[in-house]
Amino acid sequence: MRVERARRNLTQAGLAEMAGVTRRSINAIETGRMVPSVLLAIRIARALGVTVEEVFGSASEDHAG
Amino acid sequence: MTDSAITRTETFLRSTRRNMIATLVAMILVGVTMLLITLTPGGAAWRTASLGSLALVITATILILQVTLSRRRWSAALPEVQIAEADEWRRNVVMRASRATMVTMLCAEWPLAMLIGFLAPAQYNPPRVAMAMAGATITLGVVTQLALILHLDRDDF
Repeated sequence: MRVERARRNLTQAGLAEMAGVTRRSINAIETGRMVPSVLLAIRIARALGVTVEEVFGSASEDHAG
Repeated sequence: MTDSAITRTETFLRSTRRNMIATLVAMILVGVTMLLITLTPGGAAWRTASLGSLALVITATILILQVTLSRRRWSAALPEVQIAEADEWRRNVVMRASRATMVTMLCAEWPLAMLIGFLAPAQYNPPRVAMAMAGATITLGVVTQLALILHLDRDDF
């Protein structure tokens, strides 16, 4: 997720605004403290303009995408 | 939403955190004072002093909360408040803190009862000991819950 966010030159606050959550949620997901719900994952993926799989990858990859 | 809306959400979250810290301090003050009053034996002079100290602590608590809460009033209808309250991370934190608090209280009740039983003089009547136990339980529960929320919701930038 961090990679996709960086590609679009978005801050955590900017992505949070687009996804309708707080910056802390984005930070918690990127630091591995929280696994997003399906709904939140979809909202984040839509905000980034990619699929959920592209953002969050597989289990063997970096959890932050 | 604009950048200022994000800032308002962050401001609301910081305000909430500040309020929780004030409530935590107030709860510790009131709880400890109540416990000391309940468990300390004494005559008329002690009773006067204890009621005075309790009045002082409650007044200080109200003042602390008033100063903290009167900085800015937040309406539940504001979008930044609704976003913060519906936030998944926040709900996650509260749920984890609640679960941990319940486990803590279940484990702590028996030792707490033994401790109060030892601390309370033999001449105390059961209602007084029960009051001490109830006060200790409430204080420990609320303090644990608030402390865990504050710890789990810290900013890890």
